[in-house]
Amino acid sequence: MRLDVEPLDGTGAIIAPVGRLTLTTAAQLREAVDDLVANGRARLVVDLGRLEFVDSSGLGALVAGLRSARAAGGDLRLANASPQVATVLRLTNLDRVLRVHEDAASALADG
Amino acid sequence: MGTERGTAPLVVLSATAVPPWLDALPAAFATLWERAPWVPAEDRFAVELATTEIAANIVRHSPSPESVEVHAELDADAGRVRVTLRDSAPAADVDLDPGMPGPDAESGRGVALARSCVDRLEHVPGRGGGGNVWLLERTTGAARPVPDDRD
Repeated sequence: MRLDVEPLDGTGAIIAPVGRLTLTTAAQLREAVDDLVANGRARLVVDLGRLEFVDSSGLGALVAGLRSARAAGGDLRLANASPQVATVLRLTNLDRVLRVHEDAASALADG
Repeated sequence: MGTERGTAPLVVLSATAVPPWLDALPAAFATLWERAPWVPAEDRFAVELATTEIAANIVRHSPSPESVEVHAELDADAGRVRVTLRDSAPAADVDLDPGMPGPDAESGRGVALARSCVDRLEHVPGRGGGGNVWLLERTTGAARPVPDDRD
C-alpha cells in the first residue's frame, strides 16, 4: 500500500491510501495519522478512491485515526468510497461514526 | 474442471503463517477467478474478505507463526465458492459467531465480518488432534436465495 498525503491549509490534510489496507499495512496508516495530528493537522480526510481492499485491521486503523483526530480537536472523515468499501463499513456498523462523503471537498465542508 | 465434488480444488497455496502469506492471497484469488470467471464480483469480494479475516486470525493467534504451516484450497463450482484453510497451530478456541463490536472498538471485528460474508463458517480440529481446519462457503450468483444482509 502507498499513502499519498496532501497537506491542506494550516490544520488539515487529505490522506489517500492506494492499494490494500489490511493487517500488513494498517500500521502505516496509524503512523501517518499520528504524525499529522502531532504536527497540528487534525482535520483529516481519508480519500478512499484508490483503495482496492480493506479488512478489519484497516477499519481498526480508521477508528484509531478518528479517535486521535477528535482528541486533538479535529475530525477524520471519509470520502470517495467504492461500493465494496461502503459495504464493509455498513456490515461493521462503522458507517454510523465514519460517514462517507462524496469527495474530499464536501467532507471538509460538512459541519 | 474442478467443478465436481471430489476433484482437485482450482487453486492450492501452501505457506508459513507469517504476514507475507496474507499478501499472497490476492494473487491466489486472482487465479481462482481466472479459472472460475462466472463468479459474480460481489461474491468474489465477500469470499476474499472472509478468507482474509480468518487468515489474519491464524497469523495473529499463532504463538510462533514462523513454525506454523498453512494450506489453502480455493474452489468454485456453478453455485458456490468454497475455501478450506488448514493450519498446524495449536487447536484454536474461537467463537465463530461473535457480535459485531461497537463503532468505537479498534479491533475484534474480524470473525464477525467474516461471518457476515459467507453462508458457512466452520472450524474443526485437524485430524490426529493437531492443527485446525477452517471451512468457508458462500452460495453465489443466481443460487443465492436472498441478499445476505445479516449484521
